[in-house]
Amino acid sequence: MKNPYIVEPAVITGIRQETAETKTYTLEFIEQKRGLEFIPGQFNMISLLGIGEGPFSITSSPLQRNKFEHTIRLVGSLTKALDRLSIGSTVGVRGPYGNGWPVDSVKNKDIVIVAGGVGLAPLRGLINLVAEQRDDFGEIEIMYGSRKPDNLIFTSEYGNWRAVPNMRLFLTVDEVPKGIEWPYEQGVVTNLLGFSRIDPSNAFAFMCGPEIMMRFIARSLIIRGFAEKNIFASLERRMECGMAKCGRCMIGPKYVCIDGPVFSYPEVKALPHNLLTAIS
Amino acid sequence: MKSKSALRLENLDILIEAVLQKHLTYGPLAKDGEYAWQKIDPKSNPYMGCAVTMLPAKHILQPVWQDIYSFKFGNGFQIKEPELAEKIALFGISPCDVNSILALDRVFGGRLIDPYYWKRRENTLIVAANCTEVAGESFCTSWDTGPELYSNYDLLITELSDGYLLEVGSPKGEDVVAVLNLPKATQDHLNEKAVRLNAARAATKKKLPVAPDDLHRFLKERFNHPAWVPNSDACFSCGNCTIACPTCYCFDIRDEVMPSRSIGVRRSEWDSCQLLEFAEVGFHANFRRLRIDRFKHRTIHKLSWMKQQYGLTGCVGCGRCVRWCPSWPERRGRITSLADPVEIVTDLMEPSERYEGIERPGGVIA
Ligand SMILES: Cc1cc2nc3c(=O)[nH]c(=O)nc-3n(C[C@H](O)[C@H](O)[C@H](O)COP(=O)(O)OP(=O)(O)OC[C@H]3O[C@@H](n4cnc5c(N)ncnc54)[C@H](O)[C@@H]3O)c2cc1C
Ligand code: SF4
Ligand code: SF4
Ligand code: FES
Repeated sequence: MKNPYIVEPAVITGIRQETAETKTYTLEFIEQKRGLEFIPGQFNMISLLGIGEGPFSITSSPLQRNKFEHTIRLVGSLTKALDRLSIGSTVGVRGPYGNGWPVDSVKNKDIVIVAGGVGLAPLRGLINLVAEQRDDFGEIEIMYGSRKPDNLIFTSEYGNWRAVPNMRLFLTVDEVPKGIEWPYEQGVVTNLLGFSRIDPSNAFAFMCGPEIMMRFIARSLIIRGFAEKNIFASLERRMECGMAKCGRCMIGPKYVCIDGPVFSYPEVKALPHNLLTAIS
Repeated sequence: MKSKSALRLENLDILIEAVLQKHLTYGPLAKDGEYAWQKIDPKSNPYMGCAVTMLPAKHILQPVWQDIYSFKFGNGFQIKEPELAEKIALFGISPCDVNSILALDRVFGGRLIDPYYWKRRENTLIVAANCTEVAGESFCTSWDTGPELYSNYDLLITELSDGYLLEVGSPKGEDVVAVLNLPKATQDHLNEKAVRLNAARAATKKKLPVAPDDLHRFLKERFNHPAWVPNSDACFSCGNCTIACPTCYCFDIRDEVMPSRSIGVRRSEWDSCQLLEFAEVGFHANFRRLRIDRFKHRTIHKLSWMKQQYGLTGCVGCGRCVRWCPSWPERRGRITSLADPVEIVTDLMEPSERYEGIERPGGVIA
């Protein structure tokens, strides 16, 4: 019987500072035979033995298997300890877990991606997949907002994304500190939807960010004419096992770790205790 | 699984000895005026009635604290899995508790199997005991999880007026009793079993007032019913109801490092959805911060969602949550406890829906 709790050692082969509190780590399994096969939107459980374990989205493109990336924001004890690691350090990895974005159902379709803060992390793999397999997808618009300009992640890739045909990137921040030059928008991320040129009637929308923010995004999308069943959200819940054993991630009868983290809007609407479709 | 043979047992001692030969054996033994699952020896006297033990036997299959693995640092890390080879027997486990194990089997089984639970489970001999009378807080008849067990046992004991009926349900059970050369039971013995269990069924007055198949619809419709408010207001969020429940399985995972800082263990530990921190994520966001939301989560998961997830009821009617809820019933003007699924469901019904003949356990304090 294979023990699914066992983590495999992976070495950090690259670190990129995204913001003051967020870094992107490149990982490679020490046992090189095993690559990582995954769908964008899936996550791994990352361990620092002796400190703890947590769920983190895989942020690299699924076409690249021998190494993979995680973009991690400093929150508490585990992420603080991860933040102190350097190239050559070993972490424990098990996964991938969860369902991921419905990549197969959006082939040839237009997609609006809406994200807030570190919520862009689970969408980066999808964006890069589209860039690499451009002909398989329709138009892509990325609407991304964060608190301040220096909270934006993946800034070094915006140039590449903008260069992809029919891929458009729109940025907004809540506040611009004095003396900082900011040529983009200011205000909430829902404002960016006004720039959309995609016909919503047959398009998909993928979103990730604070749940209350997604509530407003979903509302705007529906008003704009997106079908509820074409709106998908990646939800965050407390996770310990990642495989429907520990019960921590449950929302009503759903386990976010195996039934999600990506849910369609009608699926979420049927669930209690979420901020996306219901207050409470 | 139909029982292969029915035997006649004069006294329990010879069976206990036979089981003890090859198994680390646990049974419901008297403790502090209650019953508790404890290791038994040839001199022990496990209770064969409706022993609603303080804790169910789940801690034997899924310990409160459990080493998932130990690890050693140096050149990365090395992981060592614990060895779990011991053969276990649960001697005198009640029908409702066997049914709760069937639910746990589905939780810890499935596509990704929890190897710790399964190794113990595969090594476990179930020596069940039918209940010839049912404890006052229990409502197993509502789910048909008791007082009689129909299948999923290795051996099944029923107390008769003179001695016991011993039914064999599996080759594992057969192995244990083969050496005992017990006489076959007669039709009279089987008849007496039926009479006694029917009497126990009839004497069980406490009933869930909504049919199990209808609970899903019932609870969905009443998700925002005002009766949830006073009930959850009186809840302490102590978690007793989940710790005592034989089908509650939630746990936390945490690491411990020895002072040398070169070795450590990763452990799982029982947790409770009733505790505030249970569902907390980064920056103290919490999707069940309100007590009422946690109270509903536990109740509806037991009574409806677990059935949707696993096809088996998440409540077997043992009554443990009823006994261990410290919600000072008097304060609510009721005699029975807040955690009681029967009470909660009854509170959600309109007075006109409450049919005659349901007994509210203890009724209302005047
Ligand atoms: C499916 C999924 C994907 C995620 N992807 C990313 C990602 O790509 N990048 C990123 O930076 N973060 C991601 N997160 C959040 C990340 O898992 C938590 O921020 C992290 O586990 C916090 O660990 P900590 O030890 O640093 O915090 P702690 O010191 O343990 O606590 C800080 C806070 O985080 C909460 N927390 C602790 N453990 C968990 C856990 N296992 N699951 C959820 N919350 C927890 C605690 O309740 C506490 O409020 C994701 C979460 C989920 C559920
Ligand atoms: S909810 Fe209460 S009565 Fe039902 S199985 Fe759990 S402890 Fe027993
Ligand atoms: S229902 Fe009772 S036992 Fe359960 S958490 Fe509330 S006070 Fe504790
Ligand atoms: S993370 Fe353990 S059940 Fe989902």
